[in-house]
Parts: sequence; structure tokens; C-alpha cells
Amino acid sequence: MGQGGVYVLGVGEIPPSSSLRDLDFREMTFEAAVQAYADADIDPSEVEGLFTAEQDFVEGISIADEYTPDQVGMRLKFNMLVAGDFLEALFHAYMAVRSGLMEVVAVESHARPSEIENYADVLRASLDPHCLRPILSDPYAIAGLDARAFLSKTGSTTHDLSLVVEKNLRNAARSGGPYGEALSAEEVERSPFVYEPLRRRHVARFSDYVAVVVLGSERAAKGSDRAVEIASIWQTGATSGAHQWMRSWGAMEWVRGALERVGRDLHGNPVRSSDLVEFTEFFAHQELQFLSGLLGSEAEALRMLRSGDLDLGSALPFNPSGGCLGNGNSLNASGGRAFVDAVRQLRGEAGRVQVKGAKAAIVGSLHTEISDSGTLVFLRTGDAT
Amino acid sequence: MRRVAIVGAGMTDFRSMLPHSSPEMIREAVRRCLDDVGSLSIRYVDGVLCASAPDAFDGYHDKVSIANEAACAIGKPVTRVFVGGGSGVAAAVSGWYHVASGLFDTLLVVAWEKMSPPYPHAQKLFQTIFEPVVEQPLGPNLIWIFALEMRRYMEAHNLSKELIAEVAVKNKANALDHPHAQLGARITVEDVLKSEVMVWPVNRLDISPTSDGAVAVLLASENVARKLTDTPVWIDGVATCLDSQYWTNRDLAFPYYVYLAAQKAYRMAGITNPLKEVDVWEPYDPFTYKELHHLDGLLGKPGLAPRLLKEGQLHRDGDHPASPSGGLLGVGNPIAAAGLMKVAELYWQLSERAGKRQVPNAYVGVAQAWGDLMQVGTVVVCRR
Amino acid sequence: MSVRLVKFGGETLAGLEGRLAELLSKAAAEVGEGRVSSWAKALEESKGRTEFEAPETLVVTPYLLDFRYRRSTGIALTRFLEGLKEGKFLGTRCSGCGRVLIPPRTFCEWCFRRVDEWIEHSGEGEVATYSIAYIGTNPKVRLPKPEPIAVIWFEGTKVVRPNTRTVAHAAGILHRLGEVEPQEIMIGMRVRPVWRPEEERVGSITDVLYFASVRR
Ligand SMILES: [Zn+2]
Repeated sequence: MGQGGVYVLGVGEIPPSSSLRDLDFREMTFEAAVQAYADADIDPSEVEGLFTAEQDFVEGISIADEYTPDQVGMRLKFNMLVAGDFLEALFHAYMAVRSGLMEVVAVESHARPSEIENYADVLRASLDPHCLRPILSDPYAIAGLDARAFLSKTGSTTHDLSLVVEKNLRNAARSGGPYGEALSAEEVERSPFVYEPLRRRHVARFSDYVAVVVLGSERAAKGSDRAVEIASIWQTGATSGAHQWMRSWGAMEWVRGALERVGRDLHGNPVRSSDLVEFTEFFAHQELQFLSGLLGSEAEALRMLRSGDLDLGSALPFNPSGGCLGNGNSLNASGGRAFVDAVRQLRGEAGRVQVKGAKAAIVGSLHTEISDSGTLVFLRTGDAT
Repeated sequence: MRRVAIVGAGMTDFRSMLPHSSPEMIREAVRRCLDDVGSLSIRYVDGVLCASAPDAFDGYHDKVSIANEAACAIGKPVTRVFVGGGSGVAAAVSGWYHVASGLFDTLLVVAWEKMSPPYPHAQKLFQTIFEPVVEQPLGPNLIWIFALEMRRYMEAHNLSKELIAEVAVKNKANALDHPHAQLGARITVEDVLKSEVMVWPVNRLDISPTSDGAVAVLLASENVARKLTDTPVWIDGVATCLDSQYWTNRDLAFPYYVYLAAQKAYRMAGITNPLKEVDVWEPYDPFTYKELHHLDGLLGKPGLAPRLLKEGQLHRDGDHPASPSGGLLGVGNPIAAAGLMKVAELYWQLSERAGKRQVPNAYVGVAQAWGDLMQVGTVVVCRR
Repeated sequence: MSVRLVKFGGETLAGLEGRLAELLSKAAAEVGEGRVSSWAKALEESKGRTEFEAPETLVVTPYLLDFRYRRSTGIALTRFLEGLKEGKFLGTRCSGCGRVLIPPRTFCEWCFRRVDEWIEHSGEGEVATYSIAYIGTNPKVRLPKPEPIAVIWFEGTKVVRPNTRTVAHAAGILHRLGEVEPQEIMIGMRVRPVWRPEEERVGSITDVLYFASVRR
């Protein structure tokens, strides 16, 4: 038992929406769980444990895991709450299955930003209380600093950021993402600055969302022809703590470390064997930073963007779902949305945004919008190895 | 399964209003932990797992960032787990699968709590653990639910407050031998009964204090553990179990979820008769009755623990020593850190490093924590 | 050794955006000299008692966390609250296990199935367990009048585990007790809800004032 492969047996979600006010968080999660178990063709009694990704102040409840088990049928079972993004909970679930502790587990994350009246105050509270909170009235200003550092370091312009927005909104218009629209980079450029150099349209809007994913061991996956393998996953912490001073501005250092590890697990270069990338870009420049980390070259990342190599149907479709710009920022559940979209791609179920013949995908997520830590997952289909 | 060992542990003093910041407490616990493993360099640590209970105590949102630099986690995996009061032992459970998965050879597990910043009192923050629609409007506080559970437990087994108070007497006396304890004291049953009533039947001395503190333990895979120490303590059983959020629909007399978690952990560790096979118990004791209530769950026999207490068997020199560390009642209760302190105590006991607290012939130990709305049980079984 | 409080106000806050200034000045107003002296005392006590170096001067930076949420109550709780407004306890019943669910939900966590049968309950029941609160959320302040609280289990909804005396399930809620002296309260005591006058009800759990003893 243990040490073997870990597979995605089923996925369920309530698609991202600007507001899901008619159901409470339990009712909406129940719907996603029913879907996930049906998708996995499994009875919930066979699921041994639950991993959730929640944050107390996003939920508006201290000790958020109290309210997690019932709606996913996980009462009186193993439970672990990971205070971070969905992919961090997935990392824990992956290790639990690999260790042999459990054969089948569920991973759940939800977020309802539409119910938080002053989210900026919540996020600001993630910063150092003595030195940063009295200075920054909007924590997203951190993203402005980071974007400026990136542009200055790479010689790119806000027009490049607008190209990212144009692409992702176009993809979302095809995938059904709530913020999809045909909007040219020039139109994006006309939106006002919010955290200079970031313009309003460079920032993802909010959406409510829930994802439930069922993972299983090799044995549990046997017989399923749709199971997608989590070939490797690694999380890497930030270059700085709550005060952000030491942060390596303008770059995502964590991507390099995570990529090295994932590459080592795969005995090869994950980027070269990937057919698509899904990533939680809360701000347009983050997509370019993440891609730069993957490619080990900022110039190459910009070249690919400008030449359309990241578009649907091109060399490396990046966020074919529309990413967070097109689907919304679902806070700690954002990585779940990216993950579910990638799994659907590898199963050939991505509809109008299907990447033809997709057999392997990279999924990445940031810990929070303004942190420089994150998680990297490499997914592949059974016949990709 | 890959075997996982505890190879070192360290902790700060547990105090009310410790003048150090959270990162300073964490760094101190980590330093002591690494010193314990022959001054191991932090470079040999593959990753960090941290645990801390509600963000609200530190006044932070997403407080994993507090541990990031303090535990030297930069560039390494660092995540935070959290299941209310059960967090400290949950961290050991989670740390176990980090190493057992084969992804980590060494993992630093860090738990901390800083409960003194909230003003006027941390209790106010507990109000937001309740159901926002049907419970919060009633203005509940945390002690309410303990009192409700205690009353139900007393009714089920016809227990007196006098007997329950003996837990405080025992644990505070045990804590006198703990160098980091906040509330070690020689008190009497009378003292407990005469302390002010907070929420009847809970008196002030039935409750553990609010504290600041941090604990770190280093986990290692079997090969690495044997290189690092001659006295590894193996984590042979781990489990957590979460019951329904609808706690008003459940009978609180028996912690069924603790029972189920314990059964799983025993099965994994090959234990069939816990009463016979376990030498040291560290059950979660934020309140006096909780130690008995949890032991009932761990032993799988409702009402057994109070009988053992009455016979003196739960004392450090008894047949079934419970909380030889001094527990939360004596050492202090910086929530997540208190749970991990219980795991560290097993390491000290089973590797014969417990000094004056040493239980003779301790080979197998069980640590347990509990949390949420009387809902979660987290259990580890350790063996020397 | 000293403790210094950072006082935000007037000049210090000039130039800061409205919301932030508001948070800071509110926090500074709430943290008084009492807080400073309790930290000073703690610092004094920690001297020589902690093995690692203690600071010479402690600075207290007040900060107020003020997060606001507008929570959707969803299908089940909305209906429950509407019922309270009409002076009724509404619950759901699972067709799988037959349990009555109060607080109601649209799913059964035992059977993991959808639940849509609604029932009405009188709200009469028994005290499952009780307590008497002498403090609120600040343990240092005693309440002027102790408050009895209880978990109420509704009549006819109990499911008892075979072979043990424990209750596997009962529809029930947390609430206060009234019209009763603390020493009269017992586990198993029969109680009924006492409602607010109809015109004062707003669709909240507090539309029930408390539960009172049913004398037989
Ligand atoms: Zn049912």
C-alpha cells in the first residue's frame, strides 16, 4: 500500500458566478458533491476523508472546518482543513493517498466573495500590522508594486498586460465564463489606472464558486478510463513573510523551485510535455510572471504572448478557460476552478475551448492574490506516459 | 507503509502575555527543536507544516505568513492546517503523511498561538465560531458549550464536581515538574470548587488559561531518523474524525468521533487492547471534565475514566498515567501549540527525556486533541 | 522596561484615507491605559522567567479588525426563519432514515440524499442539557443576572442507539431558558417556546424569547 499513483476520479462544481445568493454555502457545496460522486461513479460511503481549503475571514466564521463535513457526506470521517488555496488542500490529499493512509478522499473548497462587504480590509489584515497596515489602505497596491517591477525588469508595457486580458476574456466568452467578452487590448488600455501600472481591466473581478474533487489510489482508479493522473505536485512558500520587504519583486521565485521538483518527479521537463496551462492570474501581469517562471525566460514568455502562441489552437494554450480574468477571482477556491477546467481538458470534455488531443497539463495557483507562494500540479491522461 | 519518527522537539515557555511576537516565539521553538537533534542545520529540513488556530487571535488574515520566515521556510513547502482545538495533534497527523508519502525525508512541524493581543478578551472571538444564523444572535460564548457538555456528561455517569475537580489538582501538580509550565501549582479540590463560577457547572479552576507559546517537532523518515538519533520515537498510528456541525442534534455524553479516530489509529498501530498496551496518555484537557470525557472515547468505554481517576490510576505513578506533562490545565493552553506540546511530551516520555516527569517503562503513548463545535478528534499513537 | 501605546489621532491620521483612519482611531480609542498597564505587568513578570531574551520596551499598536458579511441564508434556513416569524418551528424530514431535521437542511448528512419534505413542530420538547452563564464574552465582567441556557430536544424526534442509552439524533437547538429558577432546572425537564408578540417578530431565532417549563 502507498507510494503509488494518485488519480482524479471525479469532479463537481457550481460554475463561477458573480453571485450565488439563493443557496447557502452548505446547499451549494452539496450540489457540487453530488455531481462529483456521480462523476466518479462512487458511493460517498466509499470516500474515507475530506480535505478542505478555507480561510476563516473569507468564510466569516472562525474555525471554518466546523461547517464542512455534512454537505459532502463526510460526517464522522477523516478531516483536514488547509488554510490556503484549493491546490494546497489537494497537495495534502495527494500525500495522504500516496502514504497509504486512505484510498479515496474528497477535496473541497468554496468561496462567496459576494457576501463579504469589505474584502479589502480582510486582505489588508494579512499584512504586517505595525509597518504595512497603517500605510496601505488597499492591499492590492502590492500587486501594483509587483507589476511595476515586472514591467521595468522586462522592458514590457501595459499593452502586454492588456493582451493577456484580451486573450483571457475571449477564451471565457467561448467557455461560458461569467466575465467573457470580446474586448481588444486597446479597449482594455482605456480603462482607468487603479494601482498604476495596473488598470481596472487588468484586475480579476470576483465570483462565487465551489469545487469538489474525488481522488483515489491506483487501485481505486482501476477500471476507469477517464481517470486523470496527478503525476506530480509541489507547493513552495513565499520569499517573504507578512511584511513583504524581502520579497523578490517582479518575479515568481516559487515557480522555479516547484518546477524543478515536479520535473525531477517526472524525469523530464513538464513544460515541454504540456499541452496547456491553467493558472490563477488575479492580475494580468501574474500570468506573464508564472509563464516566465515555467520557461525560465521572461523574453520568451513575452514573445509567446505577442505572437499569439498562448491562444487557443496555438503552441501552448494558456488559460483556455479564460483564467481568473474571465471566470472571476474566487479567492481560496480559485485553484479549484483552474484544476477542474484542466481535468475536463484532459478528458476531452472542455467543449468549445477544448485543446485538441490534450494529454498533459500544468495547473498552478497562488496562495492568495498578493502572496508570492503557490502550488504547481502536473496532470496527465492514462495514455500520456 | 513508510515509518515516520519524531527525532526532536522544542518549545517556548507558555505564558499569558508573553512579550515576544509570534515570529519570535516560533523561531525560539524551532531553534530548541533543532538543538535537540544535535544542532541540526535548518538546511536539512525539507519543508515546514504549521498549525495555528483561528486567525483572529493573532489579528491576522491568512497567518501562515507569520511562520514563513520565522521557521526558515523560504523556498520550501509551507502550508498551514487547522481544525480548531484539534490543530496541534492534527499537525502531527498531517506531518505523518508528508513524510510517509515519500515526498519528504525531514519535516518541521510548528504550532503556535498568541492569544493575548485581542482586546478586551480572546473569548469575544469565539462568538464567531457559532452558526451565524441560528446561534450567533443568542450571544453565545465558548464556555457555554463546554458547560452544556460537562452537564450532560455528569448526568450520564452520575459524576460529582468534586471528582472532576481532581483532574485540575492532578494536572497542575504534574505541571510543577514542567520547566515551561504556566500554571503549575499544588491546589486542592476545595480550591477548585471555591473558585468563581464562570458558566455553571464550570468554575475558573476547571478551565485552562489563555496563553502564548510555540512548539516545534522534527519528523523524519526511517532511514534519516536512524542517522539523526539513537532514540527515535515512531508515530505508528494517526487519525482524525469530524462529526456533524449540527451539534444540537447530537448527544454530547460520549465523544463518538474521538472513539472512531482512536480505533483507526490503534488498528494502524496494531493495538488491540489500549488499556493494557498504552503506557502514557496525553488526552486533551482544556477543561477538567474533558480529560475524562476524552479518555472514555480513547478507551472506548463510557464512564471508565472517572473510575480510573477515583482509583488514582491516572496519576503519574498510577497504572494509566494521564497528562503527566501537566496538560493544558497546568502547562497552559496556547491552542494549537498545546496540542503539539502533548505530542512533544510523548517524544520526551518515550525517549526517556522527561526528567522529573518521567513515567517509568513508557513504551507506547497516545496523544489526542479535540476541537470545533465538540466535533473533531485527532489522535496519534507513538512507540519507542 | 516600559510599555508605550501608539496613539493614532489628529495629525498622525492626516492624509490617510477615510476608512483606514476610521479603523485606526477607533482602535486607539478602545485600547486604554488599562491595557498598557496589563502589558507592563506581564513584561515585568516575564523578566527572568522566560529563558529567552525579553524586550526592554514594548510598543502596543492598536488595530481594529472590522469585517462585514451579508450572508445568504439559503433555502432551508430562510424557510425556518420565515416560520419563526409566524410562530412555528419548521423542519425537514429525511425519507431515508426518517429523522426530523431541525435546524432544517435540504440534505441528509446520514444518508447523503436530498431532503424536501417539510414538517411543522410545536417547539415543545425537553432539556437535553443546560448551564447557567455568569459571564458573557469578557470573562472579567460578571453578568448582572445569571442566564440559564440549554439545548432543547424537540418532542418525538429522538433516535436512540440500540443497546446504549445514548441518543443518536434529536431535532434540537441552542436557546435560553426563562420563567424558571436556576435550581429548578433539570435534564429532561419539559419545556415550551415563549414567543415574542407577533408584531415584534422579525424572522430571527430571537423571535423566541426563551423556553419555559411546562408544568404537569
Ligand atoms: Zn437520512
